[in-house]
Amino acid sequence: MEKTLTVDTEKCCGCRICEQFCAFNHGKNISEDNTRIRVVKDHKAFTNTPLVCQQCADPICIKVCPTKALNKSATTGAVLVDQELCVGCRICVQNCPYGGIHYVQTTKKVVICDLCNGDPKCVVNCPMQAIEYQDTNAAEDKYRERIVGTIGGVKS
Amino acid sequence: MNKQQLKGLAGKILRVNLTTGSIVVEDSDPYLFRYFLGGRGVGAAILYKELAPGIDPLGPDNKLVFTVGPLEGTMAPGANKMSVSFKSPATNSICWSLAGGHIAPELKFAGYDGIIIEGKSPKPVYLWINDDKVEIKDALAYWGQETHQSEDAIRAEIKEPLSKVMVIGPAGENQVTFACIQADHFREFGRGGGGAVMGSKNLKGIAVRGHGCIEVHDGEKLEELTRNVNEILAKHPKANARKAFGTNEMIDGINALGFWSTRNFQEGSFDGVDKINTASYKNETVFSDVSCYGCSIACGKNARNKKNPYFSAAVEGPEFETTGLLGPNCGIDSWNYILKATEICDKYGMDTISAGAVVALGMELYEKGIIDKVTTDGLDLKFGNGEALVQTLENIAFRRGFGDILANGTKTVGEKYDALAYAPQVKGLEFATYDPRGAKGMGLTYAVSSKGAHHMTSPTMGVEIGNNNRFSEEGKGALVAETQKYMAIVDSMAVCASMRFALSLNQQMRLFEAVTGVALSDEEGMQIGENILTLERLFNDREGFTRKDDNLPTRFTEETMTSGASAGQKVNLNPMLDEYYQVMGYDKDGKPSKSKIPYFA
Repeated sequence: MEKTLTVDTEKCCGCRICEQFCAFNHGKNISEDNTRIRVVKDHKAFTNTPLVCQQCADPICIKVCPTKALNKSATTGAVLVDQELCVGCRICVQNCPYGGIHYVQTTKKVVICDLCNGDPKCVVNCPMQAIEYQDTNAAEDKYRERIVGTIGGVKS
Repeated sequence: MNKQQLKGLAGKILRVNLTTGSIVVEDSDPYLFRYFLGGRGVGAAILYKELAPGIDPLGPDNKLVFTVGPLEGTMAPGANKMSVSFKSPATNSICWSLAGGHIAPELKFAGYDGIIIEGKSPKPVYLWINDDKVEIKDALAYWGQETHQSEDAIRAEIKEPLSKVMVIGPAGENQVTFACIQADHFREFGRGGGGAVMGSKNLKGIAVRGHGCIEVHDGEKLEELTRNVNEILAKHPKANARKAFGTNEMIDGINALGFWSTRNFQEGSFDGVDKINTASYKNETVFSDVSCYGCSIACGKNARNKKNPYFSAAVEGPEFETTGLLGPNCGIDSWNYILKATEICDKYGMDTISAGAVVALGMELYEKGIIDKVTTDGLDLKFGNGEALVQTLENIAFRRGFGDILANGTKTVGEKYDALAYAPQVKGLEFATYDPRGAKGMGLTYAVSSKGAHHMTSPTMGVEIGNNNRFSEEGKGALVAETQKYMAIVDSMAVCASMRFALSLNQQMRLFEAVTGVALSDEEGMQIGENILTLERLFNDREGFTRKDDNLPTRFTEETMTSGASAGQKVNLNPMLDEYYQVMGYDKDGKPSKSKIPYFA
């Protein structure tokens, strides 16, 4: 069954441990260039928002890529970047509706969450359980319940 | 030893002279980091080397030395502290203050292990550090602005939403002696008046953005150690209490034990505690959790009054110390006013501990009839008057009326009104929220700290409670010496003090080794801690500090606690002082017998 990564922005505390373990898993060093997930803090709104690929069913990034550098993994559903084909035009970055694609300054190419081949390190290391990796069918239940519960006047 | 032999360093230190406008990039001296680790220790060493004795803390000769350690910018747990060292305008002693958040790793990513600010700019400026591009920029438009406002404005001007920015507010500009430096809205370099020093240099802020990365000695080992620490923290009861309630988890316990600062330390337990206890903090105010870089505890709490829209401004915190000093110590039993007072301190840029202490002293003077409404600008400055507290804090920030007097701290106020006996300060720095009569080690901690009455130089209260000997003076000299050394290491490794729940001394040394490649034994670690303390004391010795400055106001040494679970207690300081000096190898007057510090030898 296909699985999906979800981020709960209400739970995220902005510690950026996800960035650290993502970067370490992809490049052995903690730097923006190595991380596929980035937490954006808004001090005025008191929010922390992890920006990461949402594995769209029909990804815009793949459609707009002029060099066919992106393709969807048949096993995990992650959008994989062929670093040979990527020319760093950043059109995918501009078109991603979730800000989930990151341009790397040093390589001049983009990186996208590869779900750590099905074992996302951000999920296991998140101290707030704000990032989950679960069956696509059930992934949204919690969020739907939150909204429906509020509309119904009862917080679930 | 060179940079290659001490991994984990960015390798450069930025030296900025605001008088001449010169910006020089120097190589980091790896020996400095080998012998003093980073953060507080390296800051003390640079100050000791570079600051002439007797200089005016608010003059151009003072320096602001911002330092991080090898662990910052790596995945080491809770490695998010930046230290700033300077000569304090509140105490004329050495001072350092640490802030968490996200600016410390950012400085490493930008390529620097520290920033040394010298001189005084002829006009308001801010510093913009964008990797290797460093500029001194005009800040005239931001001078006079509140902290959050100017931070956002600077971030907008440099067009870098991910930059980390520290600023001072009006209190720093007006050189209130306990003005703080505020980073990323809610993380403060709080104590000792670093904000006033920054204001005296016409430096409004420092913005940092970095894209680089830090090479470590053994990444696999570091990852393993970090995962291990995070696993311990996930199960640790104290860490979980912090996760649930922030540092305010301590309210109920410290109050019940009768040493929670109440009405300018006249009492040790607060009759209004039920309205501001740990549970009510959580239920009535907290709306989300927030964490500093790489910390799995998330003790930061975003809070606002959920019911009363008049007090709708949200803050991060208040921390336990803030609650104690702005709450019970001013007789305030309402989250409304504690939150409001916190907001005022945050937006004008003041240390909440000293601010709460100095207003409370004003309240006692007012209730004793030593001052009246003519002095207090018409305010009914009695304990419990929240509006008077809020108004007085504003007056302090802008040095208006009575606020101009209070802006110089409790020592100056105590001297002016013959009230030094109950001005809760040591060397000019105000007490934290623990009344030392309820944990005698804290009395010694306040007395001997090189920066004045700061609790985190040696927080012994937990051990004293655990050992059931908090009212005893016996052995506290050794306990404080040991704890001080340990805290000097923590502050110099520049990890958050809350990491102590999971990080033993040995684990800190293993982290240091994984990052730098330099293996230190626990004994070597403790020796470094001792060297840092000695160095700080040598700095003060040069400034003329002696045993008489390691003292407590007589309220704590002669007046017994009147009520509560610490009733009947007072602090017998001298035997503890003698033991402490002996354990540390100082003479009877508290002077280090000779410099045994390797780096300076």
